Amino acid sequence: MTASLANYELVTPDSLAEVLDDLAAHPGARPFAGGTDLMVVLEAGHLPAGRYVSMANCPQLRGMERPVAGGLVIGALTTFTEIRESEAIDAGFGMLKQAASDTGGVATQNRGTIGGNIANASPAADTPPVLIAYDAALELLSSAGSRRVPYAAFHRGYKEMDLQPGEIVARILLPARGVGWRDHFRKVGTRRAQAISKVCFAGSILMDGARILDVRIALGSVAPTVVRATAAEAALRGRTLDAQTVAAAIDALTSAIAPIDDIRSTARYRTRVAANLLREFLTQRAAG
Amino acid sequence: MRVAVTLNGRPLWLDGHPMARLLDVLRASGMTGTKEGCGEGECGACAVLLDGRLVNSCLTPLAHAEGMSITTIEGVATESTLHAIQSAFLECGGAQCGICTPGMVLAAYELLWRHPDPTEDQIRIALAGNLCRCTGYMRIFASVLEAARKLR
Amino acid sequence: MLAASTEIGQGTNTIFSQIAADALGIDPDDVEIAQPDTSVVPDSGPTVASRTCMVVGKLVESAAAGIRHTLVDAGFLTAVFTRAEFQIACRRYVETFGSLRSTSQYTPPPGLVWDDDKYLGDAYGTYGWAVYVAEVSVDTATWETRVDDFVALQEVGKVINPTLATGQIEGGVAQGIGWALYEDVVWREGRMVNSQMTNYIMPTSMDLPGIRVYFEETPYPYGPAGAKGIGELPMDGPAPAIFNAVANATGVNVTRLPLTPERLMDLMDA
Repeated sequence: MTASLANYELVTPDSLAEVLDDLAAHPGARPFAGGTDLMVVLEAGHLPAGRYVSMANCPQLRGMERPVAGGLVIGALTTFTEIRESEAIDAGFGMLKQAASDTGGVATQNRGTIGGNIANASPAADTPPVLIAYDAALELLSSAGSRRVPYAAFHRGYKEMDLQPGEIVARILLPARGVGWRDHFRKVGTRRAQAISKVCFAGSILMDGARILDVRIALGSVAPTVVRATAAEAALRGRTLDAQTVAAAIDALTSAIAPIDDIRSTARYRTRVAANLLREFLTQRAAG
Repeated sequence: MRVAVTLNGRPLWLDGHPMARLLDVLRASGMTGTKEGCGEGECGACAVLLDGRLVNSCLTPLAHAEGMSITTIEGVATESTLHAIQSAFLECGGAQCGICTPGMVLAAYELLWRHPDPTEDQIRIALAGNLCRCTGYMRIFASVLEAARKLR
Repeated sequence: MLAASTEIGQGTNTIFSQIAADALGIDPDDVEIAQPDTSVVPDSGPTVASRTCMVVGKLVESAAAGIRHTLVDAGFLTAVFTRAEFQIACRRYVETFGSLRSTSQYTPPPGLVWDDDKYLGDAYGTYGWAVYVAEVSVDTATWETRVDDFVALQEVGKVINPTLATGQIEGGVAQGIGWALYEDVVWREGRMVNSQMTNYIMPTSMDLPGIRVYFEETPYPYGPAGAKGIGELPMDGPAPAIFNAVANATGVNVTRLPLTPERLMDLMDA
């Protein structure tokens, strides 16, 4: 391990209120959730020195609820294992389980949290495309109060989020979905487990016969942030699902993404696979 | 910082920086069965059970161990009796060089607690975070199936 | 038993115990393998090159046989004996003549010519042989190749320990599959840039098929009990077998490994 721990503080306040007060009182202090991202960065010698505030004593931020009005509320400190094992999300939010299962391995899932995954802001994370497809909003909390932001607007650029100093991601709010939506999630990684994605696809579609009533398409690893493919959605919404519509949607998608060459894959491959996953979604899932 | 834990059934204080890796603190306290394979949470050789759940101890800060029950490979056998998982590994050739073995045994331990009668697919998924270079995993799957059989 | 060959999990200590015990007529549990401390053990050469069982194992066999012959020739041991009788024979020999030590020195098999100064000739007296069969499927949306089934058949002279031998093949095939499909080494300006476990992609338990292993035995007269070497053998076959299967599936000719999905996409586009 290359880091000198003398450069770091990790404090564990006794409650959520104290966590928020600590963050407010120490500008530059950062929240610390499961640690499965931050500890990797620490061991690589790249974790910014300073104060980290552990949220180990914030039980109210852990767990999932189905509000009476429908939808789902997920505490930011809910682990991927808890998501995988939850029965509450089976009806209507199944892609969350798939994404949670595809994140790392069992040991990562037992500690990693959905809020940490969001706040780590990697464009390659597996849950963000699912959250976009489910129209998620985030509840952000600070000692000054709370605010809500649509998740689709939260990631502003590579590792840039609409998260103010002293704020934490507290809850993920998924609105109620009508019946009839068909979901499709696929992560294409370097291998079948313990892999960072090359392309990650989440889609959901509502059909009336061959007519597309509504659709959501989101991708990871093809841009500096998770992408909602609004142009591709617009090329589909209200139209009949046929070969031309599929081709138009694919065109709209490939124009909207900006994948790169990196250590894992190439821009060319990512573009082609993104197009193929969209085609797969439309021809297999949407067609029934 | 000083945290109170139960380590392999015994109450204990562990000392260190709150962000110190649990891996280092455990090894310094004599639990050298927990191995550092990669230091990045990829290989699973450092895996331990924290309140019964498999975690990579290289990614667990000491502060997170407060009040927890930790099981390392040293805590799997009882006195001088091997656990069924360990016997199965011996009988089925589940270990060659042995570096992955402590993590594999603990991953199997958690799996068999969650799924006492696992399919091979469930075993593959449960062990996917534990890398092995020697065995090609075949004998490890056989060991876990045999352990499940023994424990039924 | 003193030899420089080092146990690293491949089973050297176990097979040496078996080979020595077999030659001595005793139980493998009664054979102790000395720690390969170079101030104590003779120079058996390095633990490399698939030579430990075939070359050093043969020396173990003949050294152990030498102990037994010496005891028999000295009249302390009969042709058939119990464990207790063997112990008594050893003790009587040592009391009568001092220590009992049998050393075996490698000599090349007849007809084998090797020039160690020029590194020319026949390095080995024989080869292990293998047939590998891979069944693959290629995902046409992602160009990922999956190995669905793999059969490895080896002709190894004599299988000394079935569990260990099978384990070696399974592990070697797994590594060969990794080499074929995943384990790219990325160089930039002379440096390997993917040298961490997160970006050097080796197969997990979910990436490999069941690996079915079979052995044939055509005994090699200069190996212990007829055994040949197998250590490196399973690395050789998987990639060619997999690429032949990919060719069968897609029509493309693969000449470079690993066959990453990116490279297969380029090949199939061409």
